[in-house]
Amino acid sequence: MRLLATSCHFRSAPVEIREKIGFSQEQLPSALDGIGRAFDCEAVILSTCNRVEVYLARPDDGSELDPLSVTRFISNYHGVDEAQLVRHLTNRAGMEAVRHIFRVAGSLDSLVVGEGQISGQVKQAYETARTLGAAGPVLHALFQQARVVAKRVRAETGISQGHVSVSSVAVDYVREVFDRYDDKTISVLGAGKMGELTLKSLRELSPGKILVCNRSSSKAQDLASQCGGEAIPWDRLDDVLIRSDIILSTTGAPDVIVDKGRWEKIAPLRRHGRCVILDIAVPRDFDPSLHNGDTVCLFNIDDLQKVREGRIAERRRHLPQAELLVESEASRFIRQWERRRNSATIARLTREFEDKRQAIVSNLMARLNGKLSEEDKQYIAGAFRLLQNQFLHGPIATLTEETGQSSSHTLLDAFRKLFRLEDQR
Amino acid sequence: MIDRISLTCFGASYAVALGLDCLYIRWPVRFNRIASLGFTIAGLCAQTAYLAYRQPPLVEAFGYLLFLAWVLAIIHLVRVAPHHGRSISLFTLPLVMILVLLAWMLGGPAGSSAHFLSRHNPLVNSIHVGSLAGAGITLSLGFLGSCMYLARSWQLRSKHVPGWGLRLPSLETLETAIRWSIAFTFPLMTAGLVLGVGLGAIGPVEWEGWTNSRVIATFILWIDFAVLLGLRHGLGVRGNFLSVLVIVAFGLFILCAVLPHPTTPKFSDASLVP
Repeated sequence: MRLLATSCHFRSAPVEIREKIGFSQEQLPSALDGIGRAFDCEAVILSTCNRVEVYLARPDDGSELDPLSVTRFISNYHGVDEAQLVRHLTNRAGMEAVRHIFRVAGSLDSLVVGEGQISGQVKQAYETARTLGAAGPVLHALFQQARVVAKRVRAETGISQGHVSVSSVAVDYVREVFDRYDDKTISVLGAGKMGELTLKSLRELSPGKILVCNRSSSKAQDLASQCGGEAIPWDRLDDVLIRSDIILSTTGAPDVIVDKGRWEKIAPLRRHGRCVILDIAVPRDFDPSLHNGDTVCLFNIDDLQKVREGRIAERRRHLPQAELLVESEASRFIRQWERRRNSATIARLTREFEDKRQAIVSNLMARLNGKLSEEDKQYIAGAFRLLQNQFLHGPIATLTEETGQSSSHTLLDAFRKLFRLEDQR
Repeated sequence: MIDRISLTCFGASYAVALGLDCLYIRWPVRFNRIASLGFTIAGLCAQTAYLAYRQPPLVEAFGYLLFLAWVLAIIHLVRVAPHHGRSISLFTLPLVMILVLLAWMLGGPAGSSAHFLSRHNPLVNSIHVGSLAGAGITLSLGFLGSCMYLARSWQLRSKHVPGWGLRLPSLETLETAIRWSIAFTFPLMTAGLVLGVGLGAIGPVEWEGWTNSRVIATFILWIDFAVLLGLRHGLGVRGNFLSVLVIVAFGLFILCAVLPHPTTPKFSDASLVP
């Protein structure tokens, strides 16, 4: 198997480079076709916002793949200076490439370790290549195994435990307080970008009502129409606070909007006793002393960030275990592939010796016809079989033992030449 | 064989199950969970055999506590144990063990006047005991909900990382459970107490008076529950406060169960025999 992985990712290249060499869904057919014609090999292109990777493969008998040609192809395809590009590309071959795709699919190489999106993107990249006829048996085996490895990494290590985005952490806190949402009202104060993302996550809970309250009524109307909510004028903020079960605050106000005094005035008027406040504004909009973990659960941006960082650190704690798993899977994949390749050669060799032995034994039996008893004939046939087995045992055992070693390829080539199996392949 | 089953047998089984559940929180290995389930089933089987063979009277604290523990163990097995992700068993199993321990401390049926009364008014007494048994079960569930509520509230107050440590139901679920527990317990307990007073008044027993410790504890318990019932419908009431009151009520309820009965028989059973 000749395998080459050329990659450019968030650690090796700035976004300015990545966005230039990224392959859009529309570009993939022409790119895969171009690679197929230029290199006469199988190909899969993985292009996401954090990485652009090209995987090329040829069967065992093919020639080595030249990394510089791949760089040249990418630079020509996107019209990027080759000299500039080459500094940002990393090339991996053979076992290194197998390990790399397993690490990528298992999300060990992601910006946020353990994120689940990448394994889907790897699968999608392979499916696209397969549909376009660019992926063959080598990449099929590799990407199928990459999926298995990704699943094992997620299931057997804690690398993907818990949500790590701020908005998901906010939703996790809400879930610890409420478990029914169709009778709940979510209010959004302000209309910041961060608020939009968090609101998107909160909307997945299917709340009964969404209220949007902003100083600018047009912005409130815009956001309300986007999320199917109701816009409320800013001067009716107290009314919003009374009606809300979950409050998401993202205003740009320079001071605290809701202090303890204001809250104590409206608290007796609230329909439901309990309220979750997600104050992700900086400076903060709510007085932190409102938090009591019972009727008011207030979480600010620092609380959410702290949880996020804690979870990322916890995921990183599981990295060594995941790396070990990837390493053993990569070695196993290479061994299995080489065993498959070697077994074909061994089967051919055994079959040839079998044919030759049978021809010689038949010839001998014909010459000695009438002079040998049935017992003698069986003894002679058995002796030739034993000779063949003893003769082949050494080479076959050595080839099997060398599976997975770096010298395996050389040995197989020598094996084919020695036994003249090359021309009959 | 069955006569050799003792409180220690099933108490120990529940203790091992609890230990395995604690281990599961630290090391979530499937074996811990299955083994814990196995020990709980073993404990429950042993307790069922014990109750079926010995038939301790429910009218006495010993039998009542064992019955309560038995029902809670069944609820644990059916409703709690299958929920792998939750840490509810860390609350249910200790309660079951405490009830078994209290029964063990009582040593066995005491042959009190309650037992004497039950023979003379079997129907009314059955309703009296049934109501109090029902109240005991619903109050135990309220107690468990309250303990979990306080734990969950503490987690939120300290802004712990969601999903880490004890995995408990949401505050909303727990508060709903507590409110339902109060709603069911109060009428059952009131019915049980009224029937108990009635039985004492008309039965062949001497009333020990209002200063009897069990009477005082029961009175406080009833007042506590009347307050709880009022608060149950109050929307602005803090769940923490409600939980503390339920825990106090449960403590009083158990105290009432183990204190001596406030009546003494006017004559022995033997004198009634013609």
